[in-house]
Amino acid sequence: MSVTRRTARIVAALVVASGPFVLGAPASAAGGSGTNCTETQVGDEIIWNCESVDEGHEETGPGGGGPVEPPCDLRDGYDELCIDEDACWMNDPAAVQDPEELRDTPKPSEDSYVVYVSCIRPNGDTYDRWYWSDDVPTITIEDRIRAAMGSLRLPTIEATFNPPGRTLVNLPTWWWAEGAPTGEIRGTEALGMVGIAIPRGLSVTPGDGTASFSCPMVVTKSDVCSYQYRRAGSYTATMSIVYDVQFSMNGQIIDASQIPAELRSVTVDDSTTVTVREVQTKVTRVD
Amino acid sequence: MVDIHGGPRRIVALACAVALALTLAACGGDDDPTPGPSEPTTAAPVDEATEAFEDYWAVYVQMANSGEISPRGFDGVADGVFLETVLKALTEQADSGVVRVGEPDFGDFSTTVTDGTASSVVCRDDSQWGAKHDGELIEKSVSQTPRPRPYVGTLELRGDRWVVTNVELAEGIACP
Repeated sequence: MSVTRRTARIVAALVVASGPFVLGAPASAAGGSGTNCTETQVGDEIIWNCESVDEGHEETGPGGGGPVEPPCDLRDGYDELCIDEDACWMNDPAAVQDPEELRDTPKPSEDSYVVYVSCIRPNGDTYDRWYWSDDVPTITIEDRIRAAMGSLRLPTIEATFNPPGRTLVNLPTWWWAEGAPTGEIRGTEALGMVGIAIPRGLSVTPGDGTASFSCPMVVTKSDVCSYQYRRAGSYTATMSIVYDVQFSMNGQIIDASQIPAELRSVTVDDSTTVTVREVQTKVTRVD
Repeated sequence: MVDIHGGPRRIVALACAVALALTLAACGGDDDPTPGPSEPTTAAPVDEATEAFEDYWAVYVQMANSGEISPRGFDGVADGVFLETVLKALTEQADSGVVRVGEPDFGDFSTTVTDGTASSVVCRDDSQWGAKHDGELIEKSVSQTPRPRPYVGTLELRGDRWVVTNVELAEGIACP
């Protein structure tokens, strides 16, 4: 092991001790449909990597406001998590379970195993380190949950109403989220954790000053979710899909009490302008 | 630039001859029977180191083809930080739903041994080592055109066993 690496490990320990692991958003799928497979190089290994490409639906990070911006520049294969400003990847468990570096460190418990973390600093310097799994203080269940949340890619939605273009006063205006998936959405695994988003339903804020109202999950043209505007005008209506989020690790659903309140649900929304016109009936003749 | 041609035994024999000549020259006129630091390579260590490198590739290919990635598979075969990158690569590939089909074609292994360290170079041709995603062959993963890449492995003798401690793409070596 080089001197450079030993020095780097000490710095890494300080960094790890001072800040939590934060997950970065993986690159969004881009263009086309189906699966995109490419030959890529990881270190000196040549592998094939496939990712699904969902045509017509961009993906977004939790909150619906675009991808979650990680606090580090995830690049060059260091694309799993951030330790402060350092981009990192990790093997949990590590490939090497008896690294020389840990031979003088007693195994904390019978169930302990070795974890490997490799990082790159903003200036391009790299470092890596093996830990006993019990001795990685910053990788808590919450860290894993936050990492999994960042890997949960939710499709953007398109607030759609009928009649299209403009509607009329007192006419039931139908609302739906065109093309949105109705089933659960699973994120990719991050730090061993997987986020699962389950759509709870739609919420529509008509934009005319009235309160929002809730509807079942409607993704095609239907009268299930309707609203009648009472006055003519141009309104900015907002549609939201609320997802309840669960987290799974090793096939086991994590108890909700371990999930930070702000991560138990995610909302994706879209706004659209609704023009409402008033139709007056003029009686010209009575028989 | 080094071209890899011919069998490994021939290259090893040449290396041995050079090493022996250098050793003898360095020790000329010295009656001390203690061997020099670069003891001549003998066939047995070269064969053993080569087999260890072949074993490493066998495990690598087996994992890639099965999609079942287990760090334990490399126990006693490979060790070191490079293995973490190998595990990451294999895991990424498997996690994306890809398994490899067929086998890579390995050329002749060229191995040299110095004391307890060995270096083995081999050209790996992946043109017939395809990839499947969700059971379907990725067409562009196979080719009729050979595309060999040179890999150099570093091995250490631990006890009576050679262990791969690093594998990297070799620079300055052209595969046939």
